[in-house]
Amino acid sequence: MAYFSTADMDVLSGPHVQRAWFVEVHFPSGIRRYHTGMGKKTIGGYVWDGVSDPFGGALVGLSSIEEPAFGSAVAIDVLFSGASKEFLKSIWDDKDDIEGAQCDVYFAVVDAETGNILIDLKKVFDGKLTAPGIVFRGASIRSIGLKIISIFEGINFPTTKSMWSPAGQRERFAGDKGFDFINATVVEEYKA
Amino acid sequence: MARLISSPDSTVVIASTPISGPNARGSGSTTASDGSEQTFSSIGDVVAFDFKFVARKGAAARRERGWFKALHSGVNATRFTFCDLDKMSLTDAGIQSPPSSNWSNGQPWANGLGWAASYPLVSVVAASSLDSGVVELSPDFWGHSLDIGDYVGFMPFHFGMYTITEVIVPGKYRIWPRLRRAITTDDFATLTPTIAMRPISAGAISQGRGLFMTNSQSISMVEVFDYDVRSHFTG
Repeated sequence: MAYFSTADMDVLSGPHVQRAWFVEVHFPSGIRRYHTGMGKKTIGGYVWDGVSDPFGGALVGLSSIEEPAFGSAVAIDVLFSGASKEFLKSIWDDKDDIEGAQCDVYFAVVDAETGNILIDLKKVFDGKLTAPGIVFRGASIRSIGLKIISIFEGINFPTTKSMWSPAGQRERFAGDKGFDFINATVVEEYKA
Repeated sequence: MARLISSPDSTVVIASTPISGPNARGSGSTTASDGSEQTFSSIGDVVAFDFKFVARKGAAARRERGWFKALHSGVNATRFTFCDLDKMSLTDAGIQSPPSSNWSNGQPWANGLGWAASYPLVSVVAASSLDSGVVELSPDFWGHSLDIGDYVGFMPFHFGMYTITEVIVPGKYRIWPRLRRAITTDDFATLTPTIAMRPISAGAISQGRGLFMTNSQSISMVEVFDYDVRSHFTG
């Protein structure tokens, strides 16, 4: 069964898509659930807190999520900033426990007007947290950054049958050439 | 802990411009090869406005600049009762009353003014949960005569300002944004919504004092959700 069904594809190819990333982090102080939009959103039976603060004073920044490809260690950069000193300090104090904490990333699409869920939570990234580090930007800006890394990176090399490579894909599905085109430049020529 | 303060009574908004909320940063569009656009956005809509204030001098100007300073570029939030300059008339709202009337002995109040009529409240007939986009109002007064574009709010103890975006049937409306707080049949709808807002950034407040009075004082503010007010602000 395809991970994204035909119905999901129809939603994703619609004229407007309202989507967010949902992150479940197992912090030492307890499980926290965040999403990349504004405000609280109830989905999957849990309340997820929006982490984007109004107008650029972002509490948490999340970098774009890349598809894992063979030979590249995929990681999502997370940046905590604009929060109180106490909050940043609490993250820093817990850094030993944060390292390796489970952190899963989900994707969902909702209806922009009614808030109905069109595509329910789909786990797209099975990850864990790296140790947080202080990020220096310019003379005065200090924030705490950490990465969400794939479990594959944790064991340092892809396990058998899980390689995201042409060979790995052929191992899973004989004759599947789909991965041959990842990271390859595809040129289409139209002839009159 | 940050404070929730009130705007001075003398504050009068002379211009309000809706500005795109932070959601605009999480949105965009993708151009297909045939040139058509697919738009996308992130979850969560928020009410944001650029307000300009009437020229003031003396005590009113002092109270206003004190209010600006107390907001501390976004540290504190303020209660803001939204004054809709395009609000329906009292007659449309179901009130047959002269604009001002004296006491029965013909005497006004000490300040020379009589009683004034205010916009009536309308009760809520069906409970709606947090994040619900549909509300149902009773047929009293203006409850069944709202149309798209009308601003409504709820009380008591409800921060939120909603615009009617669809009349499903008279009395049952779709609102934008979706409810910030659940409403029950004990709540009332009002045409003067109160919203909690705070400045969007350090540069959001513009103050100016000319030779005779303040001029061009403005502030860009964004809504603070009802549940965030309760967890982050006191007072």
